[in-house]
Amino acid sequence: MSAASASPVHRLSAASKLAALAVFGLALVLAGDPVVLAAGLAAALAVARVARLPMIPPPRGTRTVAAVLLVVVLANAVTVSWVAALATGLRLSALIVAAATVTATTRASAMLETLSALLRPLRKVGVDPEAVALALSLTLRFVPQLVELASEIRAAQWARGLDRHPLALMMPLLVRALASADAVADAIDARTFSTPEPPNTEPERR
Amino acid sequence: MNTRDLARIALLAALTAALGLVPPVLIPAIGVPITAQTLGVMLSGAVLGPLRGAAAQALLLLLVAAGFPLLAGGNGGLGSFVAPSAGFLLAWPLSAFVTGWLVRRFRRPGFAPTFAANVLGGIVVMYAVGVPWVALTVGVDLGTALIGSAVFIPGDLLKAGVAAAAAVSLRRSLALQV
Repeated sequence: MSAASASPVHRLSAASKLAALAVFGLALVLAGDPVVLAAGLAAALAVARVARLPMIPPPRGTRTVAAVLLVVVLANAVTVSWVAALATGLRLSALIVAAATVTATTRASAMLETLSALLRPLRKVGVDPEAVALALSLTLRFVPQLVELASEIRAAQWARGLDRHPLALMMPLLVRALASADAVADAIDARTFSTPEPPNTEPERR
Repeated sequence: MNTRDLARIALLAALTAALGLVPPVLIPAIGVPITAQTLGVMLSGAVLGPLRGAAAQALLLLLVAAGFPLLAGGNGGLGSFVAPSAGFLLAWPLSAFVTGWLVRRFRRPGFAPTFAANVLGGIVVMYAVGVPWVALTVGVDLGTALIGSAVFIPGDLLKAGVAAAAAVSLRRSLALQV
C-alpha cells in the first residue's frame, strides 16, 4: 500500500485521480496516431516517475502484462498492420501505466470510499450503502478464512489417503464456509445491525 | 435481504477471490490467463440465485477496482479494468445473474440443467462480452479474437461441470433455496 503524502500524486484525492484516469483513457481510445499515443505513454511514465513508483525491480505482475502486450502486438501485426500494432501497443501500455499509477498512489480504503460514493445513486433501486460496506469488510475477512479452511480440509483428506480431487475439497469447504457465514450473520444480528428486513427467524440448525 | 444473505454474498465473493490462488495458466494465444476463478462466478449464480449471485461478483469487482490483489496471480487494481481481458472480468456479475436466472427456471435443477445454466451463463455470456472487448482493445476482428479465446473452452466446460456438481449437492444437503 502507498505511503501517505510521499509525492504530489499521492496527495491528490482518489476522486480526482479516478476522473483524470477516465479522461486520459477516453483520449487514448479516441487517438489513433502513434505519435500522439507515444506522447500519452511518455506522459503516463512521467506521472509514474513523479509518484516515485519503483521501476527497478519492475512491479509484481508486470511480466504477465508484458507477455500479454507482446502477444497483442504480434497478433495485430500479423492480422492488420505494423502501424496498427504499434498504436495498440502504445495505447495499452499507456493505459496500464496510468491505471497502475492511480492504484499504487491511492490507499485502498480511500479508493473504496470514493467508489462506494459513486454507488450512492443506486440507493433508489434498493442498494443500501451500509449493507454494501458490511459486505465488503466481510468479503475481506472471509478470503483468508477460506484459504485456511481449504488447507485444513486438504490436510485431513491427505491423512486419510484421499488425494486432490476437486469436488472432494470443494464440498466440505462450501458446506463449512456457508455454516460459518450463517454463524457470522447471526452474531451480527445479535448485535442489532439493522438490515431492511427482519433477521432470520428460522430455528437454528445444528 | 437479511444479514444471512449478506454474509453468503460476501462468502461467494471471497470464494471467487480465493480460487484465484489456484495457480493460473497463461495460454500464449491472446494472453488471457486461465484461472479457477470463473468457477466462483458460476457457483455464485447457481448457489445464490440471480440477484445475490450478481451482487457477490459486483462486490468482488469493487474490491479489485479499489486495489486489493484478489484476481488470479495476485493481480488487482484499475489496471485489470483496462487490460485486453477486462471484458471477461466485467462480465462476471452478468454471468452470475444469467446462471442464477436459468437455474431458477427449473423446478428441480439436477446436474444436467445446472450444467446447462453454467455453460450458458458462465461461458456463453462471458465470451459474448469478453471476445468483442478483446477485438476492440486489441484491434483485431471478432473471428481472430474468438479463435484466440477458444482455447479456454475445454477448461471452462470442466469448471461448469465441477460447479454444477457442487451446486446440486449443496442444494440437496443444505436445502438451499436458489
